[in-house]
Amino acid sequence: MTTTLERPRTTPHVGAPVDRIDGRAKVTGAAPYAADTAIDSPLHAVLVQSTIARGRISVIDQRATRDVPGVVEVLTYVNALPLPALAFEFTMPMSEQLAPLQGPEVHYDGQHVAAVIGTTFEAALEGAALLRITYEAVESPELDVDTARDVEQPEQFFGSEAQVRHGDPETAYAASDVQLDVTYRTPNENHNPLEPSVTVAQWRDGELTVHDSTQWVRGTRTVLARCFDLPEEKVHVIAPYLGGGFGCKGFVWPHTLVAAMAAKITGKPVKLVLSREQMFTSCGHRSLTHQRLRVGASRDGRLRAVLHDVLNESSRVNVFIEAAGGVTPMLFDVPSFAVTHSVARLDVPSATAMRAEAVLHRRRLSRRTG
Amino acid sequence: MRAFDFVVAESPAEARALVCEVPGSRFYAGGTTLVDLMKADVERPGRVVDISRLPLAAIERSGDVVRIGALARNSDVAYHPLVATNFPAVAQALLSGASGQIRNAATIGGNLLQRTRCSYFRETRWRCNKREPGSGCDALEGFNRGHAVLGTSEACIATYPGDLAVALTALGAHVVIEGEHGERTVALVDFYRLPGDRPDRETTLAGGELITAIELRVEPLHARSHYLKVRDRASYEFALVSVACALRIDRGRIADARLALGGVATVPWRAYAAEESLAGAEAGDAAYRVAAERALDGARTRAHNAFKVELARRAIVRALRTTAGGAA
Repeated sequence: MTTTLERPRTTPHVGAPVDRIDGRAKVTGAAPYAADTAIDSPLHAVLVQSTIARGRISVIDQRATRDVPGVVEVLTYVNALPLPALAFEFTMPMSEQLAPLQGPEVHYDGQHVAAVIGTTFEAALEGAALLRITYEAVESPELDVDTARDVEQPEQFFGSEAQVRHGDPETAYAASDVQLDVTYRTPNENHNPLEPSVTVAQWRDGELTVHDSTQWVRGTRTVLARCFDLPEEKVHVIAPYLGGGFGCKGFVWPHTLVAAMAAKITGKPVKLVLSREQMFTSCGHRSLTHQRLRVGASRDGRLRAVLHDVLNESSRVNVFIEAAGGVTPMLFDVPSFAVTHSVARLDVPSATAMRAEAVLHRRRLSRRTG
Repeated sequence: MRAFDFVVAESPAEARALVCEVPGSRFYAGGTTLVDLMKADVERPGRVVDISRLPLAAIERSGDVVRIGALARNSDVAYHPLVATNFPAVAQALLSGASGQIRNAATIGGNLLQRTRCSYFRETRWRCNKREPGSGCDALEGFNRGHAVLGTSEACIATYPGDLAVALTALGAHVVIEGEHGERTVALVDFYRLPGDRPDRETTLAGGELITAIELRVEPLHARSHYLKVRDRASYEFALVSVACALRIDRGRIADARLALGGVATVPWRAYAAEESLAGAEAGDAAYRVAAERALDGARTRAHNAFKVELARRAIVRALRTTAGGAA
């Protein structure tokens, strides 16, 4: 005789397949992404980016660009609207503490230095290819984290302590039976989702409407309101679908402000799509990290001390900490620990969040202590 | 990208006439190289002439010659029984290139003309003698890990990137070209030009000439051929080093050998001295090593590409060993 146990009751969702609410629209191509926004005869903006990493623009020759049929405007620091530089705050997701097109200074290779606006995408693209920019590069750029001169240790990042300390880790480590001292290096990584970053901006009756490929709709509204001196209720940010973000659409990047500025100056809706290449410098990347991990343990396998020093890079116009040591104090019961996060300011594009930090996996010590 | 005229040609003669009308015009077949370079602002044709509808895609045997129409797609050629059976190195080279989608679009004639992957050529902010003759070469002192060690000049060290032409060079293929004075046939080794002081001139094609076919001779030597490609990742990547070879072995001795290299030279590189050293030798590693040394004679390395010399030697030994198989 056998007895069959009755399967315990569960809520119907556990274990049951659930359709993703936007899944069908996305896989059938019905989902309207920001670049698909139905808008009457928009102008198209194509960005031109710096080709040096550090220096100043000396001459911008627009003649050939202006001769392209369909090119209606060339935005540079000379004729751009003045925008305030906004500091990164917990509630204000400005990625770079430098508004775009505000001066001739170049802080990294691939920085926006102009936007060519045309009645067609093709005209703007051709105009952008014909823009001749001459630079004055006085100092060599600093590109290498190993020799960086400007290294900061911010106290806080995103509302958390960036430098954490408990007990006396140096002494406890020195006195440990077993010591592990290893340095790991992780490389720069780019997000580059299928849908590139896009902004379609339109001004009507003093109100700004932006279709934007953003992961932070309210944050984008706040930044636009502050930059263009509007009450938030006059800024509308619309982002029903996202074709991948992974963090590179989490904050507000300069191209969004360029699109809104271009729409204001021309009085027409403006569509701006970053090219695949521009995506590599225009909306952040996960910084490389150098992580030194020192772990002290007793012979019976108990951790006595952990010291974790994380170094990453970022640009001159953004401070971003790759919080790789954030979970280190949480994982184990360690009497003494210290975690430091340092950021090297270099003449490189800005770093930002990428889904999951460069967190190390720790298996080596268990092998060492047996 | 710049504005350009796009016209469709109905015959080879019309295609050539349309190209001759506007200086700097380009033929468009699969578009897999041309369109990329137009987007990068490297190619700036005033007119693009679509030749993809011309009846030039047949693959046929006539006597001992297999003729592959210039518009045959890479994937169709690779899987064609006449090619796979008689010229395995050609089929292997084709299937080692690019991706399935690109092979379905790319044509054989266009493939011969694909441009270098040198980043200093493909990014207009740098100086490049191939793109702008006389402007200088930033690859010489730049990041030149992928660059050539054979056939280089002070003006250019850009690597010929393709696979197909390396296999065709080893097997002595000819290119059929239609021009103003009718048809001419040229051996592939005479089709490519060394960079010298004019790296912008990559082939001996004259203005308005159109490649119509490739010809390969059917013979036992070509049926025992092999293509080995060494690269940074297993697929969808250009060669660091590639080797195309063919062997005819008679009672343990090499009766005849063909050897060409890719990924290490400015043109598909036929290694004649290595072939001579193999002829008459006993098949085996000793002979292969001598051939490998000969093949890299005269190699000139730069800061980041010295590794290619030893990598190429080892690849040659391995490719010859594989080709000899049980007969060694």
